Amino acid sequence: MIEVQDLAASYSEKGSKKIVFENLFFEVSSGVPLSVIGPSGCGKTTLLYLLSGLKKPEKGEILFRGERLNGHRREIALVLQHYGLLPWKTVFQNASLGLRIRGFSKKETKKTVLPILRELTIDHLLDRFPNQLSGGEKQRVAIARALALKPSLLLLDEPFSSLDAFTREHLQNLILNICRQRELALVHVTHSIEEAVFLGEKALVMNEGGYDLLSINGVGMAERDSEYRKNDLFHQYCNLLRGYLKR
Amino acid sequence: MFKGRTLMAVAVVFGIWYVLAFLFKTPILPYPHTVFSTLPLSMERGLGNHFGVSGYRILLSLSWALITAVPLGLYLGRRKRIDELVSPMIYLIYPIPKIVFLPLILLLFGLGDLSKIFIIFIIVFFQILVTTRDASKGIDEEQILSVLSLGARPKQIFLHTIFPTCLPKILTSLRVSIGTSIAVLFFVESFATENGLGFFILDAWSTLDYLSMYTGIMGMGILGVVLYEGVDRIERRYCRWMFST
Repeated sequence: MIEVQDLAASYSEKGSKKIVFENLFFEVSSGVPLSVIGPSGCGKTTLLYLLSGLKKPEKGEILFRGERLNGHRREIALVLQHYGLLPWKTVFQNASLGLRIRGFSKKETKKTVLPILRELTIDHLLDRFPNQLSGGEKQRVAIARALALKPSLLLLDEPFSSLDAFTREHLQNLILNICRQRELALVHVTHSIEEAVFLGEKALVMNEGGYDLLSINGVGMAERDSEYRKNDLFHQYCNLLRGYLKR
Repeated sequence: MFKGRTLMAVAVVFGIWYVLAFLFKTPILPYPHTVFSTLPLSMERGLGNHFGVSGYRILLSLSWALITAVPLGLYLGRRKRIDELVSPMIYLIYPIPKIVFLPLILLLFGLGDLSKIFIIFIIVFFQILVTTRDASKGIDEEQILSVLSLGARPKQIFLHTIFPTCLPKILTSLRVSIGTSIAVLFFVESFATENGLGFFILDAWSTLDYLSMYTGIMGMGILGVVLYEGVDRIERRYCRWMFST
């Protein structure tokens, strides 16, 4: 679905150019989710912005369904680390925003958004504002907003980092289910090794000065559930990632 | 319009006034009830008309300031390079008391309403401009990215993110500007005019008619309360999320 070829990113600091990453090659397809993991500042979020089309690569190219990615595409949905909800919009208005921006009528928007809010069990919070929601509820609204656009690629930027352990696991299961049911391709940036292994079938381990692309598909997406966290294979993959992160 | 807390505040102000009037026992500081008893006489002398004229001047100058300073502030806040060029000019002009330009303003706009409205406008313009620019500058980039990632165009980013983010701060600057504009109003109505609350107060003062003077002062207070209440209503309606818990 998405193919990354010779991608590079850098930034300027005191007049000199600092390379964040370079020579990056990988591809992501539906049913084979990719977890991106690495220390702070290694360019994980930058990579996600490039994949979403919000930023243009200075070198290399990103192909989405065989076409060069030039700006934002409706089929690519991004959920940001701090949810990106607008405080002055209610849950329903936030979840509907993408559709409203694209000129959908109120009726069409309602028809699309309400079932998603129901699926994410936040349909009882329609008129609440984000400051009246818990972290987990905010995250569900952000996911609902992304899903309302019927994407084929879902990009998540450390989506569960500020949630408690219970909510985190619950939402991880939810994301897996959503990706399975909708056949979504998933790229997921995280700091958590366990999360990377649970959600990903492939892992892109980004370290300063290089990257490793690993296969971590011990249990296929279809069979993956909470029990997988207790599986020996799960722990083996966690240790494998740990080893690569230390290098 | 008036809630319990507003009535309580009024009661406290009048309570303090009563205590001071009792302590000083001077005609310059009469009891509130004596001032109230003078109200019908002051109305006959055109207090209502003076109130209307002052309200018109304030509303017009605040409207001009909002219409010009808010878009400019929002724009400067989002355009770093232009802001870097314009900000030194703002910082140079902002601290200068605009009253010093009075002779020039009178020369340009004459002795009528326009010069009075203009001087209030130019003073509050900078207050609103600087606050709006800073609010626009401080917008969380993640919010902009989140709307961009939904396919928003510049106009939609402005409507859905930039303006709503800045609105509470614009309203705060408006509140500050109301206080400033009423203070300046008193000054601008002290020359070349025979109407407005400032004129009414000074006229009563010069004839030692302290009771009428206080009715004029109360008029200014009421003008402030009406304007502040208006801003509060706008805030409760358009920034509803701030009051949700």
